[in-house]
Amino acid sequence: MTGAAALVTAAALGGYPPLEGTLRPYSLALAGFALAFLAAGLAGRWSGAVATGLTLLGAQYALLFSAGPGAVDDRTPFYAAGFLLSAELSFWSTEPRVAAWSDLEVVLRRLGTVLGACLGAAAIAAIVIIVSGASLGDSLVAEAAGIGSAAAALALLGALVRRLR
Amino acid sequence: MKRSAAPKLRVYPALAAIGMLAGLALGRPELVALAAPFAVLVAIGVSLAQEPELTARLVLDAERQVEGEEVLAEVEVSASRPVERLTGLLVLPAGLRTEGPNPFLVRLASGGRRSLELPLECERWGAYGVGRVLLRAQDALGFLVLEASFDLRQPLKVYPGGESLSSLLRPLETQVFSGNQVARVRADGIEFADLRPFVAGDRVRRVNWRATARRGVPWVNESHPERNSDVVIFLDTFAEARRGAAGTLDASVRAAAALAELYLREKDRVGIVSFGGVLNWLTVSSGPVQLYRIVDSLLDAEIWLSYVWKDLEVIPTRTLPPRALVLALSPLLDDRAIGALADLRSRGFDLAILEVSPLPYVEPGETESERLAFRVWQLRREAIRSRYRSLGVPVVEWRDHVPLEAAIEEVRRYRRHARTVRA
Repeated sequence: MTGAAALVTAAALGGYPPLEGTLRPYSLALAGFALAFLAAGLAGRWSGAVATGLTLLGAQYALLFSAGPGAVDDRTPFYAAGFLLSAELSFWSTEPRVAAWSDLEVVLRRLGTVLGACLGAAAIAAIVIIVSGASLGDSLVAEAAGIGSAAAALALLGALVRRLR
Repeated sequence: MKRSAAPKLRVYPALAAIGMLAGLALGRPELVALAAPFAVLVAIGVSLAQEPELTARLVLDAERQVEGEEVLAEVEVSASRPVERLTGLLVLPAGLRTEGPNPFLVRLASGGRRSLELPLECERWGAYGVGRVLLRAQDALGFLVLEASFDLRQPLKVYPGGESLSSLLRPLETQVFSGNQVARVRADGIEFADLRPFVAGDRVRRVNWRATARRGVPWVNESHPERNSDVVIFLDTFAEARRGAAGTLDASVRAAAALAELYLREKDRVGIVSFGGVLNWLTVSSGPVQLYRIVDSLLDAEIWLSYVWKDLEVIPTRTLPPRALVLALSPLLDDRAIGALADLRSRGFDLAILEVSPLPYVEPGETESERLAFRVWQLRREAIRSRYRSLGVPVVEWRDHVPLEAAIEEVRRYRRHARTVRA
């Protein structure tokens, strides 16, 4: 059930860029590959295929902006929430499954956590979009600060993950 | 306890990194907005992840049970820290199963414990070790997985059940100890046997006054004494026919347990010989303790594939006492067992064979040649039976779902009319 929901969400997300942007055939092809990888990963409980599917889906979204500079997509928070929902449901489906949901409370709490994370994702995406719209000057320093903070964030993330693993 | 990262702990940082780099390269905030939630989720998940100390406990409400009945297993799991999702599995050996939630999924609060009751259905007799518990704990965001295995094995003996008997097969000769069986010999006893003239030394209370008055000289009553007998249950464990959960060995073990119980209740001495790849034996003895010994011995009965030729020489002499009734339970599938039984008869043992029929577990086949082979095999079996009958050994085919009582009655009827042959 979670797998089907993940696929439906991914299909809905995959349908959005072709409606909005150019390069429609490429966009549709990428969406098809993404869904195929996702479906294969869910069927075979193979997280590698799921990861590839999600990456292709993200690449398809990036294709929207390949035409060059344009207006900021104000639907990004919704897309980000849907993208995270699809990822969470997909990884939920690839986990070793318990045959009987002996404790309904556990399932409901998990669903609540996933939905909360999606709302949080929408909020974070909205903040990023709003912040990116703020005029901080078009200097090289601001550009360097942006790259530096992104690199620092990724390094911090890497360190945290290494500590856990 | 084994700690591991969930697959998404590798994927989410990668997605975040790709999204951010793509956003920087293309100069699009949307891609950073898409990637940022993954980075934040991983950061929160990794920061909040805790490693709880997991413990498990198992209690079985019985150590012994009869086949077909239930044993209640109580599994208690606890954790030193909160566990959002704890999946548990009580590993059950073949022969035991549960309709309860196994595997189970629970949530544990800090220092909390949960107890689950799993009714275990004892499907097949045997000696089991129940209690391997596997636990898998996940944090709320599902990044950290902790796996633990607990060996809490406890013995559970499932005794064979299902067969009930009310009458038994009597040996041709009895032993010297008192029992419930009327002996063929004449001696002090209760059962009237015959009349004979009084001789010096006869007790006055044995005088039959009515016969004495009629004949004019003293006559005395003769009686049969009540004696016990020795019974050896011979279990053929060389080979069996099996289909799914049912097989000839199961039927043999159930029959052996039922026979041993009733013979011991009748004050007879019972022993057992499990003759197969592995030889097991119990010398004859009586009493309730012997019943437990026999049933425990039966629980170890297994088919061990062996090509070693074995005959009666490998069986200890005192296992087969003189004048004992040897009651063989065999599917008559292995030549070594067939030969050993014939050898027993040749040595003068009082032998009866309950042939636990393998036919319900064998398909005749679909092709003409398969059906022909099946018929030849049946003829060969009939020839084996004829060979035993020519030696004066009753062979009764006992099929599944036919009461054991009926098979015993058939042996008894055969012995009533058969002539003892000294081979």
